[in-house]
Amino acid sequence: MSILKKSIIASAALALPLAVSANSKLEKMMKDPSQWVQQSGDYAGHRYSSLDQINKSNVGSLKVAWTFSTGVLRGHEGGPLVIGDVMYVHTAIPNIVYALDLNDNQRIIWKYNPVKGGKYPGGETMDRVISVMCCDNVNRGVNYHPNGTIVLHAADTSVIALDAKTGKEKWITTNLHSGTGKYGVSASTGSGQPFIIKDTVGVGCSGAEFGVRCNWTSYDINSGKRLWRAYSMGPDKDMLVDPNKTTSMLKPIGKDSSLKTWPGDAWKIGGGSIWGFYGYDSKLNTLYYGTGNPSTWNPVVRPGDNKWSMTIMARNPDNGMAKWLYQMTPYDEWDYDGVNEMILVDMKVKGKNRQALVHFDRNGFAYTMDRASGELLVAEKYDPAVNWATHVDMKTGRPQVVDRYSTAHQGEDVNTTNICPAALGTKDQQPAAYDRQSGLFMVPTNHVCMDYEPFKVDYVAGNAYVGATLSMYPAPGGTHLGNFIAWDADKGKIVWSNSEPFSVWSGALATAGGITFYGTLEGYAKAVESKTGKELFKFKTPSGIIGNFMAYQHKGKQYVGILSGVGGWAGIGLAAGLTDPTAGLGAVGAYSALADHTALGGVLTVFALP
Amino acid sequence: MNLLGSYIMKKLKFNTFVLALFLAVSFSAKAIPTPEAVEPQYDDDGNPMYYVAYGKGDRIDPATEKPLNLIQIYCQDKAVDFVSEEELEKCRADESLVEMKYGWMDFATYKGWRAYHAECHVCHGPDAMGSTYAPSLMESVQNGMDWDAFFDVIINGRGVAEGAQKGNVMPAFGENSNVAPHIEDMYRYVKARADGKIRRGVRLPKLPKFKDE
Repeated sequence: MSILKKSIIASAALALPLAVSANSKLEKMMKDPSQWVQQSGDYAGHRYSSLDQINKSNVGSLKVAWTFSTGVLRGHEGGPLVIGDVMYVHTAIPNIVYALDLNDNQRIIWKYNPVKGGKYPGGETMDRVISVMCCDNVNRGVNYHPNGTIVLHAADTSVIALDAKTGKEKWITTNLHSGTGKYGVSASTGSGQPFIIKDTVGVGCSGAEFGVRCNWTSYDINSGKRLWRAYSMGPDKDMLVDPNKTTSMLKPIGKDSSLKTWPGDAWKIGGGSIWGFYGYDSKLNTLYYGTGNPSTWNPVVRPGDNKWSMTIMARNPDNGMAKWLYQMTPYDEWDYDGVNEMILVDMKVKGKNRQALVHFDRNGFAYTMDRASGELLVAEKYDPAVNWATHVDMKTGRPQVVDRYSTAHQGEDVNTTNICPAALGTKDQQPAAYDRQSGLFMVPTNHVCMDYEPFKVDYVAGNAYVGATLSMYPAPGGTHLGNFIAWDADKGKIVWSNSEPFSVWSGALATAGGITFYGTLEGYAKAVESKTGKELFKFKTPSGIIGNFMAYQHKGKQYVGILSGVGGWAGIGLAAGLTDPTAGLGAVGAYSALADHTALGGVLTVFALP
Repeated sequence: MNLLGSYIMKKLKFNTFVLALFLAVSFSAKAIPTPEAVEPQYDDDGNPMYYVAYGKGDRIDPATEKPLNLIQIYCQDKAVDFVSEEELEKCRADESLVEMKYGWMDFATYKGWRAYHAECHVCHGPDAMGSTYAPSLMESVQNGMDWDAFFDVIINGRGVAEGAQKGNVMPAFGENSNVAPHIEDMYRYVKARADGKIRRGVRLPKLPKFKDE
């Protein structure tokens, strides 16, 4: 333990001088709107482009400039990067990365495929990896380090550093092979972006549906050496928390804060996966991410708060130590993963200037927090349909759960009906954007409710560990399954809302042109006026959109890019439509299946003015 | 072994249903006793089979004000999951073409539905209808997948497919205790879906557990 501690401190100290310069270089690049250097555009997760050539007066005449097929059929989340004159495009499994030359008609400069002879670098075969991925083989994109590295977090949990110029491997490390399970490997998988901070790259893990215990692990960007690892649950030393200094709701969390909230050693297969979009504040030197659902979906077998699943974590990226934690959904009974993106905005909240963190949770509440202290400032429903809790108690931070919708209260083998939102959440991973002009958040949402019946399942290493039946349908009073909304994070109110026939599963992009882009599951790329939501442009791309919009400028011209390629949880939940046939008799829209509108295929579509 | 003396409901007109529903709700949802349990069924060739019994409304869900044991809706004698948009349009316009069947499936079939949600649902989608990721098991059975093939694929799995389904794989569940003991029941459920006997989003129209199970 002490040796480990020493080595962490030593490596952090060694990395420091270089780190500062790399950090500022990357942050400088983030300010250059002609490039798109990180998945979220910047560390704050604004997904905002200050380019304004394409604006509300001319976006109606937007045209497709060029397209690129990724050659991969599975669901395409995340988006491309643009570094200088090169675009980097990733794919779903097998996780190919392309470098495209923007100066030469998007010629492929290099193509990297981690799967060689059917095997991933960690030694797992592709079919084995696929078989333990819940909900499609998505990947949420590569990231860039200014030492000339593109980092890929592959499905088998390999972290792969590639030379941005040549596509050659600089180093490879396999993040999580625990040696458990039938195949001698763990059921952890990689789908989240690798996150660059200073001279480190951090990765989370997926697999809460497979009973893993997830963690965040930080690696040295130059050597691939592991620096620290912080589990989402377990003993304090595993979680890198200080019982006296780490706080929650402004109070120290105390000793064994996680262990006390699980029956026996259930925390060992506790889930708490990390696979959304993250935030980093270089002034506060703090990393922000959220943890996912506790395993299994049957709450009856794990009474307690199941800490620290469903939690926003603020950590020091140098040594991993947690500064503050906030659990949004203690004792999850609905699969409301807390993984969604962290958006960092300096704004006025209730009349006071705050360094805020805004988070739209799966559970249907939008949280505004003080990101320095972890103080809870605002927690309001961002879909009026949300019914599982009446409100969040601002003193304790706990949601006030309604017994009628509590699957634990109703009990095992009881079908709890009409819970809103469904397990998809009011929003899943699809990241919101922050419009710096209007101060509004542009949020892609789901509008789906469910019946949920928990039942007993055995834990079988390497297999799905779900334990609840699920039927989903549109929220009462309508037939649409999604909304695209503008949110005021100070007042905690919806400013405008556009309904969409399907869940909006793409990441938004707000721009200085007064417009916001988002995609729909049928495949429409849309632009709306940020202030009003008025639709100004739409174009049907080759497949349903679950990717995230980005913008860049090349040779003085603004471009907007989006990956289409339907799939993911959205494709699994919605391909066949959701609706009960009784509704089908009354309403055409609700019965319609996604499969009637679109088919598979990864394609990048890039738009520009003629 | 048919202990129930089950009966098929007369063609129920849509507005009759609404009236019945209204009455049922206003008179505080008088519950009709659920029929007795049946043992798991097999067809003449020894393949596992579902069992459905029809009867009038059992319980009313207070939240939706719908009977909890509506098993299937038929539009022009076809299960509503399988009708075309035009047929559905016709049924919307002419409610006399609509038939609703209330009743129960046997506990074994219900267990199959539940086991489907332990492992299958996260890839094969809701109600055995498939996803953008994995095929519809309901359609596979409709298209001729029999009990032996169904059993074999679940026990042994399938490798990475080529062509349009490249990147798909079916894991082997032979040693999975949430699946292996329940394959017969899963087949019962999927077969009942394929035959249009169980509607989407079932809300527990199940018979009690058979004692010897």
